[in-house]
Amino acid sequence: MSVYFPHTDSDIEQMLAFVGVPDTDALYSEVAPELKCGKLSLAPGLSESEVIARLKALAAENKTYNSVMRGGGAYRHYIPEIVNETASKSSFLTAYTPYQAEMAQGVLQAIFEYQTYIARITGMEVANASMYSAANAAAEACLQSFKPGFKILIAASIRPDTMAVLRTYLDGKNIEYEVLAAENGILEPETLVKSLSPKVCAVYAEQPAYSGGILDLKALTEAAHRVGAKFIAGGNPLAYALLPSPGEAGADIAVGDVQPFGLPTAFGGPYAGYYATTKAGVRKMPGRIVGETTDRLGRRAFVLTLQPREQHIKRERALSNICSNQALCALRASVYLAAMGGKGLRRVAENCYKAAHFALKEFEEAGLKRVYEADFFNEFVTLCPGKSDKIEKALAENGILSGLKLDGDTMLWAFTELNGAMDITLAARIMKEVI
Amino acid sequence: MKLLFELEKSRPSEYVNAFTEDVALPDFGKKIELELPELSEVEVARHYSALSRTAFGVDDGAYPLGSCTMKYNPKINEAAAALEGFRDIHPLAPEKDVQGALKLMYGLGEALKEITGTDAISFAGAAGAHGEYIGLRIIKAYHAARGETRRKILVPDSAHGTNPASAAMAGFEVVNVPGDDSYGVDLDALARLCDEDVAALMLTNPTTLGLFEKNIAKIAETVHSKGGLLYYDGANLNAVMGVVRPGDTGFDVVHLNLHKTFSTPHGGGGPGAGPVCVKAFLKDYLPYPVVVSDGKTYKFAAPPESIGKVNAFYGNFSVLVKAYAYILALGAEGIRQSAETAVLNANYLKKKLQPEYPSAEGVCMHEFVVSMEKLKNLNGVTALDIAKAMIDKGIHPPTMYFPLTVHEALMFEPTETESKASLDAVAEAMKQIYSEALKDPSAMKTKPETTVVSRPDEVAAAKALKLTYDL
Amino acid sequence: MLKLYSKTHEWVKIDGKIAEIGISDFAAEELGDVVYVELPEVGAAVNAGDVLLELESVKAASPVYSPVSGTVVEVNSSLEDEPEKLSSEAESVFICKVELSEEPSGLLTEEEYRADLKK
Repeated sequence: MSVYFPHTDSDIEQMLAFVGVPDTDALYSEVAPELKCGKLSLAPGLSESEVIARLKALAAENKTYNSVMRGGGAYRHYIPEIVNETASKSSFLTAYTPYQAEMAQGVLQAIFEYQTYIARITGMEVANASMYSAANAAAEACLQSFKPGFKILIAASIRPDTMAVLRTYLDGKNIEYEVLAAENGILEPETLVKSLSPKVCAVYAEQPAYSGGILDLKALTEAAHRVGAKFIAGGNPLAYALLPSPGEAGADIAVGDVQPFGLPTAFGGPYAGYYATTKAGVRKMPGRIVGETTDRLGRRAFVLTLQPREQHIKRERALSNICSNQALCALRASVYLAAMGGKGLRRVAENCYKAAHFALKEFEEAGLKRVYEADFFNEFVTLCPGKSDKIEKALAENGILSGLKLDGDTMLWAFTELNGAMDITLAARIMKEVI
Repeated sequence: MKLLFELEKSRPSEYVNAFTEDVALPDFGKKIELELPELSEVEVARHYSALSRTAFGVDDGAYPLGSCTMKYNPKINEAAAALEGFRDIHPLAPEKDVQGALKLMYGLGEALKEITGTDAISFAGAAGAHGEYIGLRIIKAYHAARGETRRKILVPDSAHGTNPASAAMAGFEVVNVPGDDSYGVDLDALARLCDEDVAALMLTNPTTLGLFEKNIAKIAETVHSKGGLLYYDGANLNAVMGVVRPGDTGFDVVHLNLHKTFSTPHGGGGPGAGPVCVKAFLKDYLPYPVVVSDGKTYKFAAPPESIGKVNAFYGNFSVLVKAYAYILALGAEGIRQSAETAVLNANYLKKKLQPEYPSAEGVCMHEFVVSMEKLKNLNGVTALDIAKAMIDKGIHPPTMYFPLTVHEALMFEPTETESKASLDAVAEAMKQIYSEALKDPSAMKTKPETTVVSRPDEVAAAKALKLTYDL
Repeated sequence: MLKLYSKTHEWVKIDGKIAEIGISDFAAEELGDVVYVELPEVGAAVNAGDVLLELESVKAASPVYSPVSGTVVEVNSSLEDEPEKLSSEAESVFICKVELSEEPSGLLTEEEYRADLKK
């Protein structure tokens, strides 16, 4: 058994004597004997070397790939080592939520910088300290934008996991919503316009769409605003290094996940949802927020602010129940962005775009067909009737995780700066043989 | 300290080479170019190194933060989560490629079910509050399936703020249950409030006062007799794991905070993990997906009456790896001993702090609450002032002004990983602070003196709202 | 103009059909620095005893209850930028005006209110 409590037997004896009880059992005198459980049916504790051996064995039962062409909400990007190193600094890793500002300026400043990065990237004015995931951030944004008697419009072209989470949260509050058809894999402005009415309070769509397709955010936002509805832009923040940001498009809220910024795919988490909005929307922004102020000697200081919106003060009247967030993931995103810089980030985004477009060309030559016309960022859908399983298997045998099988015929491919031209050509060649 | 946005421009490391093939970039119509600081890696490293020196983690000193269970986070857990086979697997990879991950989730689930005395589990919750939301939705679905619309959730007035907030978010009405003289649930009030419209009572046990709710059997009977369910907020499980199982004491739904009880680090506010455990009769309502096994292979499945999806993928997987490593290391004995030691530490510190820091009589569980009301009435020194003075002594302050039912509250939770020597040092520092407070009350108002900032102006922060560098 | 008080520490000045509503200096003292006033929407219908709006200090959010029933016809939007006026001049600064839909009842005179506070 590994032991993490530092007491010697003699410490325990002295402490029991000081407390005035004969043994630790006596400390549970308030617990009725019939409520106590016997010995837990768990294995005996392991030594540290045994623990890591067991976990290594489990990890070895997972297959990792040299090359990953799958995304759908989780993307394998290059992570500079400084991101891992910084996030493992124990003063960050093992710190609590920075309620004691004097003892947590490092954490608070790092979050303030994160908020600034998110605001700049999304083009919004303010951002919070993080949410659980893109899907949860989207759900919160919809809940905050809802007005009784109104309904919310949701693009069918969003990630299916976000759609499922939205359904859960909106149904739970009996909020009316309507799903708008995805034509060409995206939400077209004309489709939105047809469904808009003064009874719509908010519209949610993602940039890019699940299919990878690029939306005309500006046209969508303008359409929503014409009937007085808020526009909530979900999306991959990396895309905004190339595409107009939600803020530039005039959106009211921007949500999504910072996973592409230095977070490993790690079987789905932890990642961090981001939530950004306009200055006017700040009081309806859930979650923790760091603000700048001065201390009693006039020095710049950072504190958690606007706390009355939160659960620990407003209880059942709080904006949201969120307490713990994904702070360390937000820190990773900040370190990543600091290391990459604007130019570096733009290059990553360009490489994503270029690799995906190069791949489409190669794959078309190999016999796959492009499904949607709309231009795309780093993901696209292909058609190859009846061949999805075969393609996945053949690529896996060559160390390549294929695109995601949407069904037996279609696949969703994703590319990042880690997919070189040679990998892509190899994948195309393998598929040509299969097809 | 300068912000990243105030540092001099330097040459960034070029981590990524340009794509080798010629692919034209169209005009995307982006009119406002993205501007981020351009910094060399050494500047970034020094920046964060400096920031980390003004942060304070469990590795930096005593952290007796009540209700937060700031125990030591074993390093091996981090190494386990960083294994390539866990870190570099895609959430949408074929199930046959991620058998190790699924097996880990399944194994952790079995262990947590055993520890809580429950029958089924979901790992979708990213944090405690998220777990509460999930648990309450399960309760709602259960009543709905029986053709009942129960609107009310009972919450003791000493409960964590997340309890009422989660209930409201799940579409319930919150009814507060007053405490009795010994800070337990007032049984008469409970009996009065329990009716056919009550969906559930949410409870932490031990309570937020650090006391075991000894009437738990009666409470369970009262709630169940009216068809309501009992919800366990696992924030305080560290006091009783291996000793009492919530499921054995009448709880139907339990959420756990792996970042408290099972030693995964808090990360400056997250990520945590809030798995939800339920009794067998509720298992069909769990959010999807859940991990199932035929004994050989593992896969995801959707429970038949699932409340739906509540998180993007499957929860905070890396956190689960760390908690699993912890449970493997401790085993059955270690888990019980951790709880017992946590309770011993709390009782030891509680007694060491008397009489200056008065608390409820008798034994406590893993935490205790002292009230500084007397001192405040005597010379105006508040719980806040004491907390701030602790910072100068290198001790993280306890939770302040919670629970709301105690005036000038300071809530201490030393956890089992604090040594006797450390507890002695904390007690000694607290005595010093107290005598300083008696001698020179006004000097307490300017503490801490040794930190990079002291007493930030929170009113100005809330009014001027500078929330980004650019705003 | 008649100035009356509620037991929940709001004052109301009634001029014909229009009631100005504010908070008492006692309430302001208890709240500490008000940093934000969540003003009600003009046109909102309120019943006496309903939460009319919320005042935020740094560490608390406190509801202000409507002492009267009617429709909000005006809000004091200067409080958006200067919420501190509620702390310093509580007895003279109104938060909103309500057009009465029924005669107010159950309110205290200033004398009664002050006497009630001393109890």
